[in-house]
Amino acid sequence: MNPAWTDDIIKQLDIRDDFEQRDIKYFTAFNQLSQQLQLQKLANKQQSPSPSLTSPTLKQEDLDRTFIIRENQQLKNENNDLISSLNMATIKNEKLEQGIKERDSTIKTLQRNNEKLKSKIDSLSLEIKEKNKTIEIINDEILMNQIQYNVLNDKVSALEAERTKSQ
Amino acid sequence: MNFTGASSSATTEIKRKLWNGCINIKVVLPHDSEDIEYLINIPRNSYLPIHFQQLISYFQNYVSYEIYKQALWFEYEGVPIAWNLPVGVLYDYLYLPSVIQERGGGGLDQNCWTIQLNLRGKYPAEYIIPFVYTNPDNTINYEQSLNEIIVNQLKQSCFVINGSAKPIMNLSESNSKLLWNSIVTRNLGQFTSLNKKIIPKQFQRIPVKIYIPGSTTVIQAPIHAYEDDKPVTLSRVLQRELPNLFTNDVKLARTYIHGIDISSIMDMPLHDIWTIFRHLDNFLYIIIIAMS
Repeated sequence: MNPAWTDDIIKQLDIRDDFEQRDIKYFTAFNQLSQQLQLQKLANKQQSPSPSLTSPTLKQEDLDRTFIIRENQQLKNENNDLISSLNMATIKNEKLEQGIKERDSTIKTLQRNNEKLKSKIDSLSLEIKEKNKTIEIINDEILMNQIQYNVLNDKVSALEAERTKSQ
Repeated sequence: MNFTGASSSATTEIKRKLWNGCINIKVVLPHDSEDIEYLINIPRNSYLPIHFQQLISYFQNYVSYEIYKQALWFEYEGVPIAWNLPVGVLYDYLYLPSVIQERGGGGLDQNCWTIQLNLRGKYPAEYIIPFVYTNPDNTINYEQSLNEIIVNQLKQSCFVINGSAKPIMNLSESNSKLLWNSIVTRNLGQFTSLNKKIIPKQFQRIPVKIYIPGSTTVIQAPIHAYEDDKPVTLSRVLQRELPNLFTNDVKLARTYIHGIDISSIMDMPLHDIWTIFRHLDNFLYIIIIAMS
């Protein structure tokens, strides 16, 4: 979930753009018309009647030039469109890179946690081993005590039997 | 990079909207008792001289004298417009205070920003930087003047950020040209990759410029990114730089960046705000509009 500030900023940017772009269709239309005007002017300039420039080859040259000017304008527009789409791709790329960075940091955090847990498991295993050894020792001691107890019990029984006989 | 808990998609969306922000401007040229109008849509982070060529080509159709040889300058309500600032900053500084009420409320009585083009009057060199370069055919070379200004701005911001202008001075000639070209053609990918060479991961200070509409004062303060090992916030900076308008309890002004009120992020680290909202010259432009 996004924190509130990003939602607020996005909302404000939308309000800003709605206000500042509200007449954009007229501006786009004006831009296209002014481009057409420029092309028309250039074409008129090339085709202006001049007594020395009326040979068929020169007329052809003029037409070619007009064609090149139109083509040039079209290529400029296409170039601008390509730069815009490239910019969008760059922004998307940045977003993906940011996502990768975030995932990388999550992976690193998880790896660190994993290592911590592994070392905890190792130390616990060692602790268990130690405890097992201690239990074995204690078991041995209990067994030894039981044997001693039995031996002493036998001794007590023998002594009691001896005392009964002597009485 | 941590943007105070924001997801990458949200910050990318903000960056996309900031990059694509455009302003509709009506340019009016008074000529023979009538106004010739030109409508132009200019990106907020672009500069006016980049668009002079198309203005000249258009207006030349209507006037008899040669526009190419005159230094163009604009004015809004009698105030000469500084061409060396990003268009969005100019809009926020000169026009936003008068339309701010309408924007949120839906009242749309105002037209777009209308500025006047001046060709023959005396160039107000005492208010705006003159264009000093000319082409061999005596026409004015706007691009070279703008290039010089932007490169200087980049050097300044680079110095503030790094404590030295070396990173930008060390750019090869071809990379410097590519950087300039990316600003003119608005090629974000190229600009980002070259700008990364100027900006280090560790910051010394943050380049900030604060403008107050109606006042000619510009606060250009290099601000340390950290104080006592804590990140400096925008509200802290404003309280220090403009103590009369921003106190702990009362705020007598609103803060705008890229045409939006940024009250919700005043307590965010300034470095994070700079990273998202900086302009192409790597300065963070802040506009302070006093509350009515």
